[in-house]
Amino acid sequence: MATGKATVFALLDEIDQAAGAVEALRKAGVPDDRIEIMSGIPLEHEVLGRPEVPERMSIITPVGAIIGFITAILFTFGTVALYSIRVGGQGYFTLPPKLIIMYELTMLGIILSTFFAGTFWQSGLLPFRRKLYDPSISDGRIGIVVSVSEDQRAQVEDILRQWGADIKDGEWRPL
Amino acid sequence: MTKPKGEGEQHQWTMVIDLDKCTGCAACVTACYAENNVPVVGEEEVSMGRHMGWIRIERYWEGEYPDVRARFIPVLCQQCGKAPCEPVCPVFATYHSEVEHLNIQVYNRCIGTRFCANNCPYIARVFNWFAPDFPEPLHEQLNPDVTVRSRGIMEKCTFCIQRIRQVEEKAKMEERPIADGEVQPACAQACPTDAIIFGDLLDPNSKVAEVARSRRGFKLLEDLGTEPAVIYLKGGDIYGV
Amino acid sequence: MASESTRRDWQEGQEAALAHEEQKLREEVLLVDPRPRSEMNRMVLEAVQRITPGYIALLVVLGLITLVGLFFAWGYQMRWGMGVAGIRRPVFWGMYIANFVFWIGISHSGTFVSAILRVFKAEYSRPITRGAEMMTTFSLMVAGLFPLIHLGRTWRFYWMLPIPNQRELWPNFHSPLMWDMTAIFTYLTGSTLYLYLPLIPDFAMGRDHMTGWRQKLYRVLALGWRGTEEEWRHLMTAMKIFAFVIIPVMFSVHTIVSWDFAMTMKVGWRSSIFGPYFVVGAIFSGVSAVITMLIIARRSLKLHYFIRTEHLESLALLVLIFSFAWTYFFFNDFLVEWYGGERVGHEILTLQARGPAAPLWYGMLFFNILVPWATLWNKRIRRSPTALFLITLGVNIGMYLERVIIVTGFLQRNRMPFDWGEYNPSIVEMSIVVGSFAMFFFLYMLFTRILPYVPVWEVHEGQLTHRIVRFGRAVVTARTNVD
Repeated sequence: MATGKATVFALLDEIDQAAGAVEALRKAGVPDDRIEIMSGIPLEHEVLGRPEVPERMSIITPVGAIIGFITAILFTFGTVALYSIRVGGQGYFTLPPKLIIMYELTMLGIILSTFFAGTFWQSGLLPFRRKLYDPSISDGRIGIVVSVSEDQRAQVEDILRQWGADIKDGEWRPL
Repeated sequence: MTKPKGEGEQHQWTMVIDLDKCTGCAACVTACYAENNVPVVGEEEVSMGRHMGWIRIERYWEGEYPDVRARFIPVLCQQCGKAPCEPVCPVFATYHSEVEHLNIQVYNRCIGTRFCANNCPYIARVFNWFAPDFPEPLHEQLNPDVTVRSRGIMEKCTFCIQRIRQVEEKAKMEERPIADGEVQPACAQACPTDAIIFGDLLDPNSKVAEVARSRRGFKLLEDLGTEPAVIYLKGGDIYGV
Repeated sequence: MASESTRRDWQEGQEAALAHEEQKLREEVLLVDPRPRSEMNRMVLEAVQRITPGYIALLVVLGLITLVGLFFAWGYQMRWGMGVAGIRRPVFWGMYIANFVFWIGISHSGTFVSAILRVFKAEYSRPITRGAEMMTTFSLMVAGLFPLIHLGRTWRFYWMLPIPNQRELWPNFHSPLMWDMTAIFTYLTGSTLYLYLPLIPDFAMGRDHMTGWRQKLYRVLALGWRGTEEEWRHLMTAMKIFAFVIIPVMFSVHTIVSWDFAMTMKVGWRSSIFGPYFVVGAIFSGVSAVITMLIIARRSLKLHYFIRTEHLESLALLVLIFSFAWTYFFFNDFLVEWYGGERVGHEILTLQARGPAAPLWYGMLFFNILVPWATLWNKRIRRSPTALFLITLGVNIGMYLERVIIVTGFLQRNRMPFDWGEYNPSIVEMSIVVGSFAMFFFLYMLFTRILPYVPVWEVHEGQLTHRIVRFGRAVVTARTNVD
């Protein structure tokens, strides 16, 4: 028997069908991490009974904030220490006017880290490569990709068909 | 107090203007134009409030006709100890010199935000709305010790800092202290009634220190806490120190 | 038997009545009037491609006004000096700064309508967020030009940036202008990314269903989006963080703009209420501008299915509320100056009410207080696009006047009466002001034909989570809380 890997790509119309199919696949012994769901709208993990996607935003954002804050300290206190110029009888190392820069740059740190690390690095959006996809997903259909061994393929396709899925010849299209 | 930055001897250059002696002749204004290469902008611009003079004679009328009196007050940069114009500048084009106690304007740094001018309660700062024009033969009389400022930057009275520096350096070379009255800004030099007295307040025997103690003395908008270095004397009908 | 059939008749009649009610509710509320996703996609993509000769003509005209009115006049001013503007001693700041404050104010629309309504889960805002966020980004771009236009030596603007240089000199972080620059940079970055994030799935949608240059553009901008669980999860978290972060940044931006004035020693400017006063004014003018632009965009893009009267009505109510709030702050600031304060303050108030520029002051009160208060309480007016268009346009005229008065009016009187002076904007200033409006409309119009104007996926999601339910004899909408 061939033990090659097989990828089944199915499209479903309704959320309920997708939820049923996912449940049936799990009962048939397909592990959660072998199933990938694509949808045109955000679906909370409970909707399809899927495990929650882990994320590290609670680490990434504070790191961004700290980087922004340190930059602000360097700009405000650091540049004054490099070249102090007295203005308007104000102190060199006073806090109040510098708090504003610290606040803004901390926020900027959060914004940039959330965007770049939070969105790109975590979800692996880039680079552009060929991926399994179907344009009807952005029309509201739900795509399920199941990666199994070749001998399980027929069983998986059966389950998906029972739930009303169109089995597609996995089209790897450039995105 | 933190140690003052910069080199040289401490001075507190101070100007005393005796309003009881001022006749409003504007000789000081003319002298300032000549000394500091202040451009003449013409009638039309002046009527728009764009005259460039660093010192101006403000004239106020008191009383009703026929019992009417003109009052004069020469107003120039007050060289504030806590100048409101300084902190608002984003590029440090104006700052406080802690050895000379002057409010310094660095023309080269200025990018022309005009924030300092808006924040000056004495409206003492002037802006170069256009490039300065010194038609021939006027360019022959430009003072070589003073920069001619380009368009788009701020300027103001410097207490004739070029004269202060000249005397300071001369005294340093001759290894002697600066004598009282040795530094004379153009306006003080030109004043026919000697209404303007200039000197170092830190020297207790100077003329300026003596008259600064007068009970006729006041500072312009003193309650704002800007600590001006210009002291006005005004006694009404009381004369004498 | 008879009573049985009577009851059945009654029930049938009741059923018909309720069905009629349901139909009415569907016509009213977008989120309970679902259509297939493919149809909604098509509508939005058709709107993007709606390029008529009239549109092109208007775009060209606006582009020319921008080029000549804004950039040529700016170049002329740089060549000859700031003197070509009408500013003078003591009015060192003029229309440029007033314009700057105005456009920063407009930029608060997007953040407010989009982020705050998202945080508070105001579901109705789903289809209108994109239009509002686009306003934020483009008005900030226009606003960002004005501090540069206003510089005496524009070509030296980079001296404000903290970059190592030969002079070993750094900028002065104690200056409110530095705070301004930092805040606006943060806000522009944040709001542009916040505009972009929810666009990614829409770009993917466009990539899937379009041809031509837009398809190529969308393909790049969609970054290979497929809509996997990972992608959605991280996008949603990022959007949530952005919504929460951008709100305090928005507040800080206009507060700092107000500090350009409040940090000075000028009578009338030095006021601790300026921060919230400016923020409220900004949201007031911003939300009004959103209504104006939605009405225009809905007409020209034919998006009546997505942008409905319910949206305009809800926003109009916000305008009324912010008119109240603005009036409260305005009166607060006015009374403090009127009652006590310095003589200069009294001179300023007299100048406003009786000086040559008094029509501006009364115009401001008319457009900002009288008109909204007299009209917007009325539901029929709130539901009339024509009336709303005129009222919200008026609010922005009023708010523009407010900025002109605060910047130039207050500067005309100071503590040195010898140096009082009147200010009249010059032709160059007016040209740049007109050019800035043209530039905003040009950018906005251009991008309505590049970016999908309605976030389809958000509408689709909203339609899946909303239902019509019968509550006794009433027919109402209900929302399922999934997240």
